[in-house]
Formats: sequence, C-alpha cells, structure tokens
Amino acid sequence: MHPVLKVICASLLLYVAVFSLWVPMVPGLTGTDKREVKPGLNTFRVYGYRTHFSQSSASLQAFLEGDSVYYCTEVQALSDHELAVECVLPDTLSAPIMSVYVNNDTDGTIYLPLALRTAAAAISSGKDAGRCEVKVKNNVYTAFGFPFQPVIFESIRNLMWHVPMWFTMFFLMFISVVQSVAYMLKLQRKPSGEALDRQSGVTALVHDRRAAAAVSVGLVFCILGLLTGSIWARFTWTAWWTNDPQLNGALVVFLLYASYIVLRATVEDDEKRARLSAVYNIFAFVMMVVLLMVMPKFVASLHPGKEGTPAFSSYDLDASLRAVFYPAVAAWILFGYWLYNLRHRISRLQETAYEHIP
Amino acid sequence: MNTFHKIFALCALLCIGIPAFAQFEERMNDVFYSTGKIKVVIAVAAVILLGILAYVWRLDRKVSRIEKSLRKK
Repeated sequence: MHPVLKVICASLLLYVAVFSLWVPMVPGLTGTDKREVKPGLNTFRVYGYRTHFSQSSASLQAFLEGDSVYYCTEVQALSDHELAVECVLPDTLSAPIMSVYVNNDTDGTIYLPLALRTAAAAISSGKDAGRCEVKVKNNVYTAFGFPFQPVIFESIRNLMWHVPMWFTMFFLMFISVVQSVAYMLKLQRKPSGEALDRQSGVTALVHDRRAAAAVSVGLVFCILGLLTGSIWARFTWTAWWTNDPQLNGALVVFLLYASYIVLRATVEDDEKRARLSAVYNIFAFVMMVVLLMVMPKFVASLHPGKEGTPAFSSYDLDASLRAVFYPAVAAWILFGYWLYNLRHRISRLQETAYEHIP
Repeated sequence: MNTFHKIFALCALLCIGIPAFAQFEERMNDVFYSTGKIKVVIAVAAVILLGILAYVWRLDRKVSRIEKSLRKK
C-alpha cells in the first residue's frame, strides 16, 4: 500500500472521528408531557433539544396540526428547552392524531410528527367545526448542523460509524471474490490434459492467500457492523435484535463467511483447500449480494436503506451528513485495505517461516 | 486453538452475556436515553475502536510467532 494512501487514510479517519462528534445538531422537539388532546382547553408541555425558547420568546408560536391547523393561544417559555402550551380545540376533531409545530426566530419551525392522539370520543368523520386558518410560518434554521430526527436524536451520528463498516466489508469481500476468480482462472490456463506443474500451482496459491486474508479482515468489519447495529437498534427500536430481513441477512452473511474460515481449517492439502474455498467463496459472495442488497428491498423492514443503493439514498442525507459520511466511507475502506494488506503479508511470511513452500 | 475454536468461544461468550445484559437494561435506559442519545454514539465508536485494537493485537501475535520460528532456524 502506497504511503500516500496511508496518510490519506489516517487524516480522513481523524477528520471523521472529530467532525462526526463535533458538528452540532439542529434544534428539534423531543416530546410532550401528555399523549392525548381533547375538545376544549388543552394544556401541555413541549420539550425541545438545543432550542432557544426563552431567548426568543417574543417570536414564539405553537400549532397543532391534524386535518387542519390549530393555533395555540398561549405559549410560554419555561426555559430554553421547555414550553407550556394552551390550545383550545373545537368540539369535533376529524384527525385521529396530531403533530406539534413550534416556531421562533432563532430555531425556525421545528416539528414533532404524530405527537398527540385525539381522544376517541372527539373524532368525527365530518369537517371540523371551528376551523382556524392561521398560516404556519415556515422559517428555516440556517446554521450548519446534523438534522434532528424524532427518536434517533444525536444517534444519527452513528451513520458515520456503523454504515462504513458494511461498506468496508463489502469492499473486502469483493477483493476476496476477485482473488478467488483469479485463482480459478490461473488453474484453467494450464495446457489441456496436462496436470498443473508444481511451480505454477504453487504460484497460483498467492491468490488463495489473498482471498483468505480479505475474508478474515472482512469478517472483523462484519462483526463490528453487527455489534454496532445491535447497540443502535437497542436505543431506537428498543430491542437488541429484531426479526428484520436486513438484520437476519447480515447475520447469515456473517455465518456464511465464518464457515468459509471453518472450511479452510478442515482441509489439509494446500491446493485442494485453495480450490474448494475458491468455489465456496464465489457462492458466498453471490449469497451476500442477494441477502444484503436484493432481498431486503422486497420485504417490509424497519432498517433504512431500501430505496436505490443501500445507505446512500437513505436517511435524510443532507449536505451536513454527506460532508462527513462520504469521507467516512472512504477512510474505512482505505483502512480495511490496509489491514488486508498487512494480513496477507503476514500469511506469506507464515508460509516461509513454517516452511510450507517447498 | 484454531480459528474455529475462537469463533465458537466468541459465540458462546455472547450467549452467556445476554441474560446479564437484561438485568442492567433498566439502569442502562436512564444513562443512554439521557442527553439526546449521544452516549449511544460513544458506545458504538468505542466498540469499533476496541474491535480494531483486538484485531491488531491478533496480527501482532502472529508476527511474534513468525519471529520466534525464524529465530529457531
């Protein structure tokens, strides 16, 4: 690996580690103290994150939105992060669930989707009685920051940690399958009918060694992807593991490649092992593409990344996220390649040191 | 101990860990859900760092073994 690539890798990793944690979140709403609204007077609290309710209390407005928009008559900032809201709703409400909007000059318009249920008795299918036609101001928060998403909050930063693990694994498994195919081609190129002569058979083993090295490093990234994904799932979906096609697919991919390692350990003869594992490796790669990229698109899933290319088109990948996410993918792929490089050089040394080569 | 044993041991350890995790879930919720879930990011970054370090440790051991066998020759 060229030293320039190593320097690029190190500086990208540093950039990603710093900025994935440093860039602030844009303001957002985290929740309300009540879960339900009813006709007549409603009083409830709204909680904000990185908001400036007290600072810009002069321009504060709050709205409820169901089928139509209801202006909240009384909005009082208790602190920068807490609002006391009073809202008078008409006798009949047609929307079963309402969203909360808060608006001020500093934070812009921030939004808590599907925050409040309408009390069951109040729902009527007809038109709302007392419509309130206040236009919601839609101010845009202009300062740079990661987008605030309900439930995910700060953990959106995991995009720069968890997702590149899978990209790197894919990259390494791709290297591996290319080496396996190269090994098979080398075997094929012998003059027909003749047995492969000893020397070229041994030189072809270079590709086998590289394929095995790429898989063993790829497995490290696969394990890290599974572990980090599990932690993230615990605090967004409240379970360490969900029966999700994407998650189960990833686990099967882990088992597939783990059995590649097991398969290699069971065969004594170098060339037989190389041939067997090359065939298995090609099968495993095809299975990985099917399990991680094709199959999840046809099944309902909690996991994002179902539209287009996984991960790249998912989330609200706005400029702030992309500025860190793309370098993160590049950095981890370079780092994975570096580890792969070390790994196959070590196995070459192992062979000379333990005298496997005649 | 070959690679297969190691992978098996890892899986076994993970399985043993599951009930222990369950006991601490309540306390963990308080810690991780506070301050906008930033601690989830810290945990994830720490797992990745530890994982990479563990792998480098393994590579280091392989190199030491090679050095040892070369010294014997």
